[in-house]
Amino acid sequence: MVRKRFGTPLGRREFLRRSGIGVAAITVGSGWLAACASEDGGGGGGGGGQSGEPFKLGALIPLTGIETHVGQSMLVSTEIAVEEINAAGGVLGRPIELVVEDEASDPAVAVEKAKKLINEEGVTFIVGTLISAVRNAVVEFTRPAGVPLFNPTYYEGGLCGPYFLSTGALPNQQIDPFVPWLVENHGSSFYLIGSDYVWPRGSFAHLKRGLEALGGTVVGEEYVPFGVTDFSAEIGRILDAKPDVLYPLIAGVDGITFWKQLAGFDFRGTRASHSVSEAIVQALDPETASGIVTAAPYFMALDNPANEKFLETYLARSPAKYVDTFGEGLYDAVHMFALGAERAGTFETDPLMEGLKGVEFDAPQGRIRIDPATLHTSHAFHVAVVRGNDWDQFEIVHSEEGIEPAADCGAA
Amino acid sequence: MTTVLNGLTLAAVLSLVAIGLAVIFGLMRVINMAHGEMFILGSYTVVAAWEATGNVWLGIALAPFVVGAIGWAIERTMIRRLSGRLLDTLVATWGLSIVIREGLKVVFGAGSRNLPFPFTGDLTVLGTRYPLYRLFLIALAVVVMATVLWVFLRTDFGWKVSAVTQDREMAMAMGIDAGRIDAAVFALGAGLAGLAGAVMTPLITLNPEVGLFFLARSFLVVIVGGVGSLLGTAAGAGLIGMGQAALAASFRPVIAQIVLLVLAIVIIRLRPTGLFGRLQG
Repeated sequence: MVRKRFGTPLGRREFLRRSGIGVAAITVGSGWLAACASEDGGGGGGGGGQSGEPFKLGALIPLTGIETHVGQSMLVSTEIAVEEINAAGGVLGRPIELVVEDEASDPAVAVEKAKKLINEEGVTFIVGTLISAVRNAVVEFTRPAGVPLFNPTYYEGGLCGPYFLSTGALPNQQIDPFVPWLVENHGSSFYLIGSDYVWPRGSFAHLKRGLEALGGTVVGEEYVPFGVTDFSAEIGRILDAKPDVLYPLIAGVDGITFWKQLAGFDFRGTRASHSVSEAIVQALDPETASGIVTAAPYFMALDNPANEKFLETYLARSPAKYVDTFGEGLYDAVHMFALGAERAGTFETDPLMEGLKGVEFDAPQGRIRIDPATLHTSHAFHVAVVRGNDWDQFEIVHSEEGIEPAADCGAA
Repeated sequence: MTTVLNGLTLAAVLSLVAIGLAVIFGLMRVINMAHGEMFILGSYTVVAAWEATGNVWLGIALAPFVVGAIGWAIERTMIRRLSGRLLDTLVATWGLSIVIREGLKVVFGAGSRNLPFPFTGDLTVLGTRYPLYRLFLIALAVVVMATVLWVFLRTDFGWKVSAVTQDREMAMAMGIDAGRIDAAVFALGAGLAGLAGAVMTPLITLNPEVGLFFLARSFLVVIVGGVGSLLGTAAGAGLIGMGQAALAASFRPVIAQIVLLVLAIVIIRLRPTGLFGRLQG
């Protein structure tokens, strides 16, 4: 029972969960205590359990690796959704038990963890994954295994099929509305710099189509490998190109390094990127963060009752004190899973996925709905200008609601 | 012009990191695989000091001494017991690097840290505006290299190190405590890496894995520069730093990396002992 990583916050948390004594998610409703005591980690799990027995939901979260800055917020958001569901009586009379594995933002590790969740823990549904390289690798395993993956994060589109559902924004829900707003307010020459993998490349392809349609120009486009510690050459080229808008999509902590290093140089254009979130900004100086323009379905600064309720719970317990669209996406994914199961009246995979079609949920970002054709959700769209380095210093300057997904399923 | 300054910054950072490795390998014949961890221990010293007092300078000032002390302890407890066994020290320090890395994860968490710059602003150098902190790094590297050269070439301690390196038994016969010299050299090398890690902290996003990148780079610098030559390390750092900046200014980063490594291989092929090497064969 003792885990290798004990001693870290994660290790303790996972140890408690797995040993079945301290599981907050289960003990919230006191009615489940008996069920908890009788539950004995065996091979059971998944779809065929009896009433009252916890239903195991798998979660793949990047707790280590290049996305560590959002890992904790994703974990806590998932836990909060599970707690809320269990406190309200569970799903179909059964509490949800979360089984978390660290996918480490590493495709090879993530696939092994997915195998472990399915083969050893017996889970039949998985929420999570973050970077596209991991998502694509995991889907290649979960799809043939018939285990649906609920993706919480924005991505470049193209993943469809019966066993993939996404509560993350597609390019048409995030990039397409953002480009015209930037061109109108900040100018039409763009410099694009991204990490060298599928998400920045796919997203930039989309961005360029939108920009060209508006008569804008791309004055520079380049891709950098993971783990860069010095961006001075790239920054030199950006300064020479003098774009109106600098649009980086540099993944994870490398992106934070990029903003920090850019701050020392004399860049006068607008800094914009839909990858800048509450989690990125809190790692920067207020002066460095100020002025960055970002766009997402969700910001903590949104003013609506569902967000107020979510943040009240979140801020009361998270060690990290910030959450972004990834965490919100997981919170939505878990809640929608529960709604789909209730509607289908079963945890059986195929009927449950059928039941999810058209499900609506009052998410912290606003009301979203699962498109029956593509299993991607509709989204709100917000543009925010960052005014400091805390979540409540995101000034929402433009909002749209209910943008339907264009998942580009033919491309898969 | 920016490219030249970029190259100088890279060279400065590389020389700061590599000089410690060069000192330890050149003088003690120990390949310290935990050198990258000495670097991040310096960084985490700054983090700890910053979290305690909110002062970045304090950590930068403390780091070389804290890491130097750790280096001294490592030499006393581990390296000296493996003295003269090149492969054994290599494996032992590699194991040590894993222990330190995972230990840092336990103490500080696996997550990444970001610290503010101790000062910001820029300065116009020959018509180009350049960040002040990077100029500070260049100046610091020059001062540190000069100091290290002075210590080894002009001080009593430096002469004793030379004596021990050239003929250990004769040096001991003359009354030099070779064991203490070893410990001091190892502590100095570790302390220099700690200083490099400390001053780099504001520029990078710190996590326990960062040291590996700098370890690989340091080896490249030391080998190209010439093993056993401090001047060679400076030359190696200059060549690699300037080369990388020049290549990165005109090629994609991946191509620049490949070209740089090919150049390094060519240099080693043509001059197997490195630019300033004085090793035999």
